[in-house]
Amino acid sequence: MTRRSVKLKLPVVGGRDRNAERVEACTRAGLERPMDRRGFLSGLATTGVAAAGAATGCGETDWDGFFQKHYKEMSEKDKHDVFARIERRSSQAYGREVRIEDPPAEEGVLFAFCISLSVCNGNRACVHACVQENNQNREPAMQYIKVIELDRGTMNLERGDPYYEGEVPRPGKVYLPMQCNQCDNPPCTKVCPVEATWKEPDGIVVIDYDWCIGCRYCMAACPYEARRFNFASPSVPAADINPNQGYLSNRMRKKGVVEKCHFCLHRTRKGHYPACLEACPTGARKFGNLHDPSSEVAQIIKNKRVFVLKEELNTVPRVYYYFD
Amino acid sequence: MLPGYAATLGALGALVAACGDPAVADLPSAAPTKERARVVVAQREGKLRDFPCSQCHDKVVSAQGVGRSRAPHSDVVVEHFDGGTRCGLCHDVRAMNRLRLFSDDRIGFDESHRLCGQCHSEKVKDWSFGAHGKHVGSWRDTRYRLTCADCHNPHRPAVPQSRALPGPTFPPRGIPKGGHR
Repeated sequence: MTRRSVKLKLPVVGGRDRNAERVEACTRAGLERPMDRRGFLSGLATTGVAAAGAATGCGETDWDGFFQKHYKEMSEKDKHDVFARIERRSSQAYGREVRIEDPPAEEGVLFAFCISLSVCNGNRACVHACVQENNQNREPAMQYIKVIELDRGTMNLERGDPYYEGEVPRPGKVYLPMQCNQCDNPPCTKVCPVEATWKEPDGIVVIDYDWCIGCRYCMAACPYEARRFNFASPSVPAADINPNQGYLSNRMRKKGVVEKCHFCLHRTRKGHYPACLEACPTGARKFGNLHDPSSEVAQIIKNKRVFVLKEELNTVPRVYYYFD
Repeated sequence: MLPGYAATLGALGALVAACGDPAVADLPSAAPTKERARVVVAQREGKLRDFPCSQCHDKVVSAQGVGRSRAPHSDVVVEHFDGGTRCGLCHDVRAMNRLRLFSDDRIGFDESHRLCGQCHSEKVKDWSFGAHGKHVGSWRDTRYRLTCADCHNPHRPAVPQSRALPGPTFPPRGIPKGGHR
């Protein structure tokens, strides 16, 4: 085995300084291809070309997208422009007219899920409803919900099998669907170096896909393996695209960003149920507002013995499991 | 949705919370609609294929005298109630549009959960506050609580097995279950 020698590049004191030429070449190369935030950061930031924006004559480059503000700093007009641009670009890219919106979080609402493990039969209808609703990548398949098959009477997730197939429910097994727990104390948002993910007032942890740099710190921080990374540009057939899209939820993602379950916020903030609940043939999933004492979730937490996953980590999850 | 048949359970939740013993709270199936219908028990009669049973049963009774022929219901397989196959256990054989409780009360098909609750009281208790059974509609406004017979065939209530849809891709270099020694 040979050891690679690393030579540090020291600043040139005497002689000819070639840094200016390198900077110019890199800038030129960068401007000749379409650029996004992530590409810029990985390719050019190391050379210190912060002034790339000063260059002109770049027809392909999406400067509006490049200089887009953080979502929380956008004014209403900014949002309107950004949504219009995303609609335009995603209908160019995927050949389907889409509508982007972003319903705001409602006052006095805290979303929660309750899942009855006695009833869930593990047939993954929720998984595929979620894939269709949220325009997830079909090839390679990405699924937010992971259903784990456990031996009845055990609760050791390490011994669970998410890859089961065939006729379900199998005797002696219990099925535990896992998705983003929308923790009240989320570890994933704390590690994000650019604040591309945060917790909304109604309890949903969201991601701004335009702000994400794809460092995947949040995936490492999440104790529930709830986050998914786009290793490739999502491929969704135009006929299967759900055109009702939310900026923070199911709009078309791109290569190199992280995504995850968001309790279908483009549906639930308008009063609908999430897609996984509507698809569930067994009625194992309950969704509602924890602040409303008459909601099913509040009643279940009051009357049933519920548990959460990895309680000892103090993440305060919002997905409760129970047996009935 | 006929307001007379719409049974709200929003008040039941408060009642359950107040008394602390949900078992004593009788299901307000015939209670009048409250001003804010939050949870509505889904109706059954409109979903039944041949609902006014009297369309046939009046005639059958008049033609055959007793109306005990099972031929029109040959698709009904009864695997319930420990082998009991008498229709009259649950149906009112004199007025087939109604169901019959053990207490000899007659109820409509929209209140069938009362019939099921005679034996499955624990399940109906869970159902009454939303822990069992499916809801459709809107979590914020009116939500419809499906009844027992919406998911379970009352004649054969065990839910059959189904084929699981495809799961996640197994990692190319993954070690299958039991592969660790």
